[in-house]
Amino acid sequence: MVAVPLPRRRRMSPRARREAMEGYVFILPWLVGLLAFVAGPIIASLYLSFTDYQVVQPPTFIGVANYQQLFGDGLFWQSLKVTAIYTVVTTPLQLCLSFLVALLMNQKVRLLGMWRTIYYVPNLVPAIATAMLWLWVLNPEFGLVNTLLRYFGIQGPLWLSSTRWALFSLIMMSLWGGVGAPMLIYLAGLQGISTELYEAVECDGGGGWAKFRYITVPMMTPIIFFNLVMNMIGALQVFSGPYLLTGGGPANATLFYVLYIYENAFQFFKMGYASALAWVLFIIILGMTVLVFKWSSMWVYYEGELRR
Amino acid sequence: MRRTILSEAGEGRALEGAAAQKYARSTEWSARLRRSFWRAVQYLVLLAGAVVMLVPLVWLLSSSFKDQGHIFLFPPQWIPNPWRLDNYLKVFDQMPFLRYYWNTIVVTGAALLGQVASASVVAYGFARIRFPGRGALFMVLLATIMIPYPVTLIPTFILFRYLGWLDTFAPLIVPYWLGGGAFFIFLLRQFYLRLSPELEDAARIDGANTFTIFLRIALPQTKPALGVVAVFSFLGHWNDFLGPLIYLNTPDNYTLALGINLFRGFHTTQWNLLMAASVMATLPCILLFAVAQRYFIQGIVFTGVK
Amino acid sequence: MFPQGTNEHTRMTRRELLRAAGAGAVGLALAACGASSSQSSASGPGKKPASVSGTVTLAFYLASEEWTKTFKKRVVEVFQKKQPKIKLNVQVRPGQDYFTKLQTQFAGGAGPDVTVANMDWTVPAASRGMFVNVKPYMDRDGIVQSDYWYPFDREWGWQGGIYAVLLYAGGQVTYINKDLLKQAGLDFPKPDWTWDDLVEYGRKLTDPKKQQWGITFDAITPPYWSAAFIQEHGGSVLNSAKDKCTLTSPEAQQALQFLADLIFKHKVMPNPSAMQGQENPFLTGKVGIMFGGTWEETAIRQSGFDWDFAHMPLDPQTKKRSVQEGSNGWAMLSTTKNKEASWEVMKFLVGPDGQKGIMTLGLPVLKDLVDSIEFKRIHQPQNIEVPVSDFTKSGHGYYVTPDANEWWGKVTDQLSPIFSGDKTVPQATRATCQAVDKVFAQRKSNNGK
Repeated sequence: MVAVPLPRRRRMSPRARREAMEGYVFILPWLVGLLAFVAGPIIASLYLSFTDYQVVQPPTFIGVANYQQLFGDGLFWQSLKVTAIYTVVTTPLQLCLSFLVALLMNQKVRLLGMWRTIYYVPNLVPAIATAMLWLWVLNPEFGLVNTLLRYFGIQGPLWLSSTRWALFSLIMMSLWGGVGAPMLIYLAGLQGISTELYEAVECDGGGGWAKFRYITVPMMTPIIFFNLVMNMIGALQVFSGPYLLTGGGPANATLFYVLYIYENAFQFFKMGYASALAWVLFIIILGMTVLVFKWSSMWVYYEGELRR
Repeated sequence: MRRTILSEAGEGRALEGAAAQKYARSTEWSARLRRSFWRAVQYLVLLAGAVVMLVPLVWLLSSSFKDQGHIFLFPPQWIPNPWRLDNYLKVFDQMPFLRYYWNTIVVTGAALLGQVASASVVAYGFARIRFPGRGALFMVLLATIMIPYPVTLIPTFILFRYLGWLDTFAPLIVPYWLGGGAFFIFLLRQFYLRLSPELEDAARIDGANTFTIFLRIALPQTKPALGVVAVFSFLGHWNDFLGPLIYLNTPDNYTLALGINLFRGFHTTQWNLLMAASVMATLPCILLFAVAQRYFIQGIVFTGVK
Repeated sequence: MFPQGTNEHTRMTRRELLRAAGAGAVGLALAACGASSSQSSASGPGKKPASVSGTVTLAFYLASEEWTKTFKKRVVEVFQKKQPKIKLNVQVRPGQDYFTKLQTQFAGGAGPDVTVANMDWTVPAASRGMFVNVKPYMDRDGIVQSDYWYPFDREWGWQGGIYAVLLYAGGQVTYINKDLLKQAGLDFPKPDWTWDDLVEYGRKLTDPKKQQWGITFDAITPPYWSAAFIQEHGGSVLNSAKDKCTLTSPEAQQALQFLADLIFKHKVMPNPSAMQGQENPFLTGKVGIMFGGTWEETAIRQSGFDWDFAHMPLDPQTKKRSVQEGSNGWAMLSTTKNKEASWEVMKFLVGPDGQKGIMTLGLPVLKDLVDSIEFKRIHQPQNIEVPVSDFTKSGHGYYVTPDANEWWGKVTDQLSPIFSGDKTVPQATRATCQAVDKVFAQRKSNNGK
């Protein structure tokens, strides 16, 4: 569980103790919230994963049966596969694309505010409207995409209705809708880089590339790291796109993991099994996050590292 | 206000050296040509992207003025025929939409304030103050967002029922005053960690206490990040569907996201009204973002000790 | 800042407060809530009380534009006038995630008293104790099947009990665009027309140049609409005990092949995937024949062309007719505190006054009403007697089982590759039956425990 190594156990100096107290005071709001609203339901879900809980009946304890059932469940493996493919493809693409757009948005361009707003618009439109739009854009007969392809003499696929292309369609959509948020975070990060650093590079005779390579990228690593972790967690838990558009089909081609959890929880009366699924996903996400944190010490640069 | 734009100034100075050379004039000319070429490419890329990004908005707008049957037509009808301006009136006719506006503003405003305030404090604690268990607690913080919501929904609901908060805005506001969520805490932590500690150390030597340092030194330097948190938080609460759906019962307490979804029924959806309602819910977001981004993205950048 | 809820559960008693103070024990609270909820279904009604009063919360989601208005004016107001002692608290909710919220509320012991019932989840939930068996109430108060043309137990019956009263019926209707027929020089289909005639009509009505199609199915879940064809051909979706998938039978496969042929061989029907995100092409006058739902009538009426109902075409070999039916209902949650008052509301809704109130919104289920001139006049100049006679004589139920919510989804998901051309009929039906039978196997092993 530990990403940052704990300080060695030793008697704390009065000053260190004072600082520690201050630290606890600062994180107190979160600790209170954790204990009051978050921890209970999470622990309850762990307990429920060892029960047969049909939602409208009280749960009955059944030990590890849910976890045993999981390994023989073909749909569990299918949903894991779909989610893994999606995560591996979309996370790096979203990260790179949004970084590029952020760099572009950080240039001296006329009407900068307007461009930034436009590029953020997909995040502002309600999800149902976007979902309908995509159904319409991806319509195999008349949709914009296939109409365009036809100009080039290509007969486009059935997209969301095709077992082969449905997942790809959702990946495509994620690039469109998933770029705005990390872009905004990158932009904020680019603002924080002091101009003095760039001036220093200039003094040493460095050009645009040198500035990018030796100032922008290192200074941005904490932000890149944040986006990496959060996009990864987000991709592993993706839900609303498949829920609104494909319902996991056709033939389970877009059965994402959290969609499968949701179906078990609220459609199949298998809340106990859904909880077990959720905890398995939790372990997977936690493991990957810890790995990424470990890896981050090799490439993330913090100005304030001295204060560790 | 200083900008941190790198390309222009740097290139200009590099070219000064080149201008001293033999074919000064022609080089400058070709450089200018090259620059305007790249400029044109830049705008073209921007424009192409903008078209792709704007399609949904244009579609939403045009759909909101159409007849029920004319929204999903092929070939697409971009200009409504006939124009149905009364779609907007019908929305108000079918539900207390102004009331939903007000409810949404209350919930969003209250939750946003709490989220920005508490996340910035907590994040500073995780980023800059040393205390035993910090790393482990931070992982616990991240772990809380790794459990998919469907399995904690019912226990959370029961919790709020015991607190007597059902059908009030409390479940949609109070939790956000307590920590503000792992996403924002983590985000702000990263921004604090990136700050050079010199200023803070100097203030400490001058005798400032930790809270003052946080408030006066660290917070102003992370204004852009706070802006991002505010925008995300605003959108999150403004468009939140599941929270209000689960906790609110009385139709008078509904928020916009619920109101919009009231147009979806058993078998049929009143798409034109849904789109009109969506436009009315979305426009404030767009306007607010257009205004706000100027302040937080081009915020003052501290360049260190002067 | 916080609006005071009208919900009864907003205030806590001291005992509840103490229990809540047991802090992290949300799990325990969960068990307690659940336990209190499931005990009630066994107890039937006592003698009919002399007078009933109280507040009843009625939750539902919208079905169409005029739904709430009509419902409030012609049903709720009439009820309040007749039963002033019972306060009806109407909650209109979003259709999206309706059942998710209902389950959550129920599990937390804070649900409404009466909810609109959907055939996807009512029996599955009722078999787990969520809804009250209202058959004893019906028997006591004389709500008898003989007054109704639609079977009470088709979607709402389970193990001899009845878990919802009917709201209205609906189902599959054959809509004909008479203008297109006229243009193609075709007569209106005869009552005994067959699948062969259907293909002929389709051919003559299809005109690729005008993007005009002969036949289309409602865009919602084509496999559901296939059921009628399968049944006419002598097949079925499930066996009669409803515990085995029978879509792999030759009859079922041939019927599905016939439907696939309409798309790929005869080319008289657009691919269902081409309907996604598109306005129903029948509504825009681009299709001659549509197998759609009763609920589409209002929209078709507004579309401006001349149309009428036709009978469902017969299978040329078996000469059988079958239409897929369904209904919506009202169900009482077993957590309700005031069963008698809730029942009074339900009784009103299924009774003559309630049925009259919703007459313009769907097919009323009272025999007298569907036979009435008043009802026929609502649908004129079209002849509503045609689909009504198909429903009453050849209606087929929705194959409701306690796990209907789970296996119907699999049928929809696994059959759809037939219509996208990704799988052949034998491949897809085999995959479907595998998935469906797995669900049933689970049910059996759970019952064995």
